Amino acid sequence: WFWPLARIVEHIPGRVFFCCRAALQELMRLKSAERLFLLLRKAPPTSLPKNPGITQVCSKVKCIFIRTFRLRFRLSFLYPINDAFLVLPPAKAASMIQQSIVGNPDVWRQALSTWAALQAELNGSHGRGQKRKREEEEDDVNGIKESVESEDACGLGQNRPTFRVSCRCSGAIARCCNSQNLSRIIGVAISQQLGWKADLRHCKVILCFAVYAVVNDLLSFISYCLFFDASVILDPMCGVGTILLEAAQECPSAVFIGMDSEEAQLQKAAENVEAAGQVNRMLLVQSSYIPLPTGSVDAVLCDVPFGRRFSCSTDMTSALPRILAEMERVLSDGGYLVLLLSLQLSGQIKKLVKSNTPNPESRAAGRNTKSPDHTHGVSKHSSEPDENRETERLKLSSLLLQNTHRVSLGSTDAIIHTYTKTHTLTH
Amino acid sequence: MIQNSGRSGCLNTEGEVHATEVKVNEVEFNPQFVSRMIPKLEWSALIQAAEGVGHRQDLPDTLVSNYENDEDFLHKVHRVLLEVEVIEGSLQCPESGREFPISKGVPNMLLNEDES
Repeated sequence: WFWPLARIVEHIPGRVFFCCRAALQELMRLKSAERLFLLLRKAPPTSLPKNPGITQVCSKVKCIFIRTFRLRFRLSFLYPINDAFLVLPPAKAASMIQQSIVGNPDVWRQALSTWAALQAELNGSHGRGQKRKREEEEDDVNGIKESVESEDACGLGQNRPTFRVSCRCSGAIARCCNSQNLSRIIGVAISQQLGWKADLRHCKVILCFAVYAVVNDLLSFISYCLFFDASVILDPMCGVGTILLEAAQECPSAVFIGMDSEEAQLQKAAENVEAAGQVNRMLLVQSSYIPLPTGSVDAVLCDVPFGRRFSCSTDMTSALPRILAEMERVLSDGGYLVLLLSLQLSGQIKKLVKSNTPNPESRAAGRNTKSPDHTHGVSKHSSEPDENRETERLKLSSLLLQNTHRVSLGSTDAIIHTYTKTHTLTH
Repeated sequence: MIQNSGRSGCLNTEGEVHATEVKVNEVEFNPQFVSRMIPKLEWSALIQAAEGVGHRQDLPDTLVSNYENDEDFLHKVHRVLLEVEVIEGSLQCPESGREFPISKGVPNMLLNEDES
């Protein structure tokens, strides 16, 4: 009987999105729905920003909606957080959230008054007596006293309601964020910026936050180099310089070196550097190895080309150990190496470098004696198997895998590896 | 000019810089940045490179202590490090004598198949 009145906008398993003009009471009588959500506000889809910065780690609240909860309404918020947030030190994370979560106070005021109006209408017609007895008892136990008399609803005209934050984290965020902590941080931000009064025991409105991680852009991994004083940052396969230029935005006090073996790519990179006004901080070199002294670079960032031929006689999988060794060599102690890899390359590298994370599959590089089997096909550069095995054992043993992180690049997935250099090996 | 301070294509020794075209840009002076960079440089290589492009500016042969507070000194280093740019020229590896060309500000360090 209801559907002729409603226009279905969208449906996914478990959810139906619809628009209708039905009165609130009719909606509340829907028996086929367990929960009803009223969408108040939806932020426009986050288009991939051109320059994702650390400031975009915590985006604005994406959706505000009112959902029914046993004949009461809750103001609910969907709050996406950029996956780069996962590596922020706690103090920085807290301040990031506080700065970005509130946004436009008018939006909040509007949401609040809609909520209040709905609340009043619902309880005006049902009256408090109709609330199920069990719920009342539950409320008293939880110490929640939601005032539903109409004069209190009008009292919200002051726009300073008492509130409490209930926060639920999902996915990757849940593993590293304590939701109680997050609740507190959000609560502080709201009371400071909106002037609402936080009251855990007696509050008029409960604000429910669902916090989830959003993989923003493949360039978000640049955020890794923000937490330490990197002066010199290298991209040894820079192509047209995309990553370096993004990093230059984020690290105003660093100098960047880009290398590539292809002249055409470097020329384009030079144009991009000039267009970005970063000529003074960027150095471009045409090379297929890394002509820099040992330990001279604070960070290496690299989007390892998936299918590209490394030089005219080797392909990426054969050349990978040698490339990694060079990256390791030029890194200073405590330096970071961040790589964006295809799933295949990721698997290959995992066998070469020891990991800081508990992973039964990883082996220490020193014990890797399978080296001739790893190379796919014969390459000119590894023509002496003995020397290869010797260098394999020495190579990469001061790199320690800190973190892997899967990202979606649209049609494929990729994995970000983060390494630190622990001590300088003497060869 | 940063690259020339202590780097070579072969081994970690100083390379000689020959420049036929040099450009001097104006770059905002950041003394803290320059101070932080100095320990990372191979000083003798920097001096040699600076001399090669004609911008030595009476910088000393060896690094003096307490350079962090010598703004005049830092300015000179800033100039050579960030402002002087070799547009056309070459880098020479002292060990092998191999010359690497610099064209449009970009050095070409690619080795031939038989060299690597």
